[in-house]
Order: sequence, then structure tokens, then C-alpha cells
Amino acid sequence: MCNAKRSVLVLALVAFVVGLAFAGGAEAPPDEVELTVWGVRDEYLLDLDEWYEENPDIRIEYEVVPWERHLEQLLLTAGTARAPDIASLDLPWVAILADLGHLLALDDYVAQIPQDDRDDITPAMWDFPRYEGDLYAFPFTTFGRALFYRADWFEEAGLSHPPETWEDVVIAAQELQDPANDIWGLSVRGRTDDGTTQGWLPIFYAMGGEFVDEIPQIDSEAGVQALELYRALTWDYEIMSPDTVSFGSGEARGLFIAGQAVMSIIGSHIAPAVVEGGTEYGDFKLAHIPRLDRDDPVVNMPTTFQWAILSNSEHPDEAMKFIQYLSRTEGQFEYSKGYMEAVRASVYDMPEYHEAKPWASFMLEDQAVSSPLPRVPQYAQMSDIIQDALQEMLGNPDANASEVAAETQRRIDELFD
Amino acid sequence: MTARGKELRFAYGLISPTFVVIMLLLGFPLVYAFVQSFQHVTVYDPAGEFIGLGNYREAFSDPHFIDSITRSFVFVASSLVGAVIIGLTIAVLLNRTIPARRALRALVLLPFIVSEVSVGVIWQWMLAPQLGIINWILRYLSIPTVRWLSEPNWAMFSIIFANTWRLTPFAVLILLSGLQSIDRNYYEAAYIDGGSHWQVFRLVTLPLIKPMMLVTVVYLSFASFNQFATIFSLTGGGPGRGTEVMALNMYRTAFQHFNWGYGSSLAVILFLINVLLSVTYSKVFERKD
Repeated sequence: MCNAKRSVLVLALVAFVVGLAFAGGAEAPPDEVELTVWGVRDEYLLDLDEWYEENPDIRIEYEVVPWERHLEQLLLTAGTARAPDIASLDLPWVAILADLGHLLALDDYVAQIPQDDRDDITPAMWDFPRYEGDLYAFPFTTFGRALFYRADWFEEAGLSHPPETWEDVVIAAQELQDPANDIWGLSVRGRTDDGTTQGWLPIFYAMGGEFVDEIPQIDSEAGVQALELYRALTWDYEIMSPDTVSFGSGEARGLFIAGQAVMSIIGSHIAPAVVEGGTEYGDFKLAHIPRLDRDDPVVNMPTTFQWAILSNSEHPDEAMKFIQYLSRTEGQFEYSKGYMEAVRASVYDMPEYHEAKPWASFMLEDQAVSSPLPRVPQYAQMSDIIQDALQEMLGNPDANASEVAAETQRRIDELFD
Repeated sequence: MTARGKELRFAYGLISPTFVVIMLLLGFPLVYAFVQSFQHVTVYDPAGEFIGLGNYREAFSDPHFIDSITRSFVFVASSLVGAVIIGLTIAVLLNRTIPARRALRALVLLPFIVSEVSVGVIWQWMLAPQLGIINWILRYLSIPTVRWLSEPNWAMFSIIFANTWRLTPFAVLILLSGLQSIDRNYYEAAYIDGGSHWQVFRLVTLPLIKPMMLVTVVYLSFASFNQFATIFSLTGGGPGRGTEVMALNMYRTAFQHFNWGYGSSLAVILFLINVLLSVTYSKVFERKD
């Protein structure tokens, strides 16, 4: 082969490799805007026919970045060209991302929305995605942890009222469970992930747990009681499986769906899956997070998901328009009828919503007594520390709740020093 | 320039683009992580501040990290021994003339093409205490069930088992290629000299597949030390921190606590252990020659 041919071949190879390295996706035509939208699950992609009829020049590129890795991916891409324009955010992520300047404040946009439309959204939901006074995300959906219980089994056993206190839970569980046949009194999530923290914080809160500047006061009477509760339910009362320490969402809900748990503290969005699993609503029911005493107030600390605009989006106006499209009554209904709960009153006014979700009124009631999860930038680390504490209580029959609470508080406080 | 020189220049010309791309894709992150390991860099302070050996000092004074090193060695050694012994046994069997040999060879490779996350999810469902099929079978046979994922020792066994299950096919693949390359005349000569099956295997087969054994051991060791996805999806590092190996500790530090400088120092330590081990393996295998 002559030198010239060799040089051309080498140059062509270099060009090919460099071309591959720098190749990008096809860009939108100049008169078309493209919005990249990240959802945590497939369910977040709604029907876009109407959107494209009204906005043929705004193309939507939807991508599922699973909840488990969503925050990590947002942090890694924020500020780069790979960041999305819009992302669905779990509530604790709002403070983390807002604190870093990755989110656009939406107050000015929301101020332009007609008052009656704003009022349609549950007032508390407007308060949740705020950080240091500014609104950083648009309310979209929520789900509260609830005590799912087998109402049909309760009735058969002559237990007349739904479980309201932890004493009720223990009595009913001991009456109805059959551990020898792997039917447990109660299932909760216990594995090391944030879902476990989000499942325990409402219990802590319902026991009178306090938050000072949004920091949970674990080293307190309520904190010790809430930690001790997990240990005692597992090792003393034996109404939770000793395997709870390894239960993720799948096992906690799976046991209830499979009829292997009398009660379960899981997200309300699991209710459609329970029905799908063959147990009609009525045979199972939802109750509020149990309290220590019947006179204690009913409270909850739900998870909410909201839409946020990343601060480096080149199309914030279009992004806000799309968020409003997703969050309109029809969008909320489409999303919520089979998954998490709507946050618009107009959806709860729809008979077909109640038909799809007979527990909708219960959830609306629950929203009214809800407070947000801690909105602090150190949430992820704080959640990890709480998980360590819960692992100790669930995994060690001899764990000392007071000592664990003190150590947990020390580590949490260190984060905020 | 001589013809040989021209030939070499052309060869280097051909590989240089790939070399440059590899250096950019692999070398740059490595150097970057190394530099970052001497800085205090977090998501809140991405600019970073030089702190010398601060991250390394923190690592070696953190009992969780020290424990994770011990767990990593237990995890790697057990996976390695399991995968090599089982892999070699299967390779020897598949090297014989048995019915459906081709189909079996293809079947044996299946676990290796399953993604690491899927391996974790598959075994999580099989080993799930109440809902998993393995405990269901034990119950059916009236054998006491096992707390596969919630008791620390069993959880460690479970992650080793899942990892071994995934990596064994690689051992089979490489060792089988070694077995197939052995000249049959060696075996004939050995048997004529009165060697037993075991003696022939130990004195003829094993020495001749030593290079493949080295490749297998080095790869399996790397793959197991860096294993994160299967463990993360199978146990999440729990119960407690009972299955938190170095790679998982590094992931948590870097991507859950967003402490990138400290996470980088853990990555560098992990990298150095891998390098040291591969050098050790080479020496051990050379020495026996």
C-alpha cells in the first residue's frame, strides 16, 4: 500500500473515532423547542395528544430515571448540557437541589396562574416544596403511609373497630397472625433505603416527635419510643417477622398482597395493587398511622412528588407551560386514578375518581393533617443515619433504644454543625 | 526507513486513535479521581480544597471502612474459590464427549450475560424469607427455613453465592478454552506411563492451563472487588452493615453522601488493592513454574 493511501486510511480512522466520540443526538429544528423531562417511573408520562395539538412546536423528550438513582443523576448532570429541563422530585430532594442553586424558583410563574386554579390545589401542597421561603417545585401528587388492614379478618374475629393505637395493632395482630404458617401481624419496610426512613418518620411524628428547624429530635421521649417500637414489635410481641430488617418495598407490600400479613404500613399508592392482587377494598381498608393514645391527634408525614424546572433550562417558560399541562385536572386524574393520590380538589369532585379509588376520601382527609418531610439539604445523610438506627433496632433483640437515639442524634447534629 | 520500521509506524498509526480514546475515557477519570482524592470535594463544595492525605487518614480511622475491607476480602476469596472450583469442574465435564454438549455450553454461559443488577433482583426474590421460592421449597420439605438476607452471616453467604453464580461461567469459558488447547498426546503419554486420572489431572492438565487460570483469577478478583450492583440490589449492604463491602461503601460515600473527595480516596485504595493483588497472582503463578 502506498504512503498516501495509508495516510488517508489512518486519517479516516481518526475522523471516525473522533466523530463517534463527539457525536450528539439529533437537534430539534430551529423553530421547535425540545424539553427534556425526567420522571421517576413510567406512570409520569401522561397522554400528550392534547399537548401536541396545542403546542406543535414544543417537543417533549421523556426519560425514566428510576427513583432509586434519580437524585444522584440530577446532581451529576445539573449544570451540564445533559441536565433535563424538568424533573419530578421527591420532596426531600427539593431542598438539596434548591440549596445548590439547581432549581428555578417558581413563585413568579405561579403568581400568574388564576387564583381559582391555584386554590384547586390542596393548600398544604403549596407549602411542601418550599425551601427558605421560595417555591421550587409545582405540586403534582402525594401518597401518605397508611395502616392497611384486613377488615374481613377483623370482622371474622369480632374486632369491631379499625386499629387506631399501637395497642390496638398489637392486640389484633396477636389475635389474627399465624407465624407458623408465615402469616405475620404487621409488615413494614426495614431495609437500608430512604423508603424505610420515610416510613418511620410518620410513626415518630404520630408519637409526638418534634422537628426543630426541620431536624428530627430523635433523642427525645418520642424518638426513643418510636425506635423501641420497631424492636418490641419484632422481638417482644413478635408480630413483625425477624426478617423485617431486610424488607424492601417489595416484601412489605408483597406480604400484605399475598395475604401473609394482617396489617401493613405502606404507601397509599399500593392500594390499587392490593385490589389487583385479588382483595377487594372493603375486605382490606386503610387506617391512619397508629398513635400511642386514642386522644392523640391524627397526623401524617406523606411523600409528595412535584415537578421542578432546572435552573439551567433554556426554555423555562415552555417548561412551566408543560408542567401546568401535566398538573391540570385531566392530567392529575389520568395519573392518579391508578397510582398515587391527586392534590387537586377538582379531581376529588369527580365520581369516576372515587369509583377508581374508593379510599380517596380517606386520603383527602389524611392530606389535611399532613406535614412535610424535613426539607434540609443534608436530608440524604440524615436519612442514612436514621436507617442505621432502624437496622439496629430491627436486627438486634437487645438493642437499647435510648443509646441508639442518643447516638443517632449526635450524628444528625454533627451534620448541621 | 526500513520496511520493518514502516510496518511498525503503520501499526502504531492504526492503534493510536483507539489508544487516545481509551486514554481519554479510562485514563482521565482515573487521574481525576486520584487528584480529587487529595481534595475536600463535596456536592456542596465542588470547587474543592487541597487537604493532602486527609481523606486517606479519615478512611483508615473509620471503623466502617476497615470492616468493609475485611468483608471485601472474605467476599472476594470465597467467590474466587467457589467460581474457580465449580468452573473448573464444569469445564472438565464439558470438555468430555457428552450428549448435548454444545447446548450445555451455551446454557452454562447464561448467568454471565445477565446484568449485575438483575442478578441481585433475581436472587433477592428467590431468597426472600417469606415470599422466596427457596424457603418455600424448604417449608414444603418440612426443613427449617433460613434467614438468607436478614441474618448477617447468611446474608454474606447469599451475596457470595449470587456473585459466584454470575462469575462461574467466565471461569468455565476461559478454562474450557485452555483444556481444549491441550495436545491429546500428553494425556496418552501420561496414561501409558501408568498415571491415574487424578495424577494426570494434577500433573498434566493443571500446569498446562496455568495461564488461563491466571487470567481467570485476575478477572474474577477484579470483578468481585469492584462488585457493587448485585450486592446493592440484593441486600443494600444490610442487615446493618453486614454485607457492606468496599465498593458499596465507596458508592454510598460518593453518591448518597455526595462526598466526592473522600469517595475518590476509597476508589484509589480499591484500585491499589486490585493492582497489588494482580501482581501477587502473577508472582504466585510464575513461582510455581
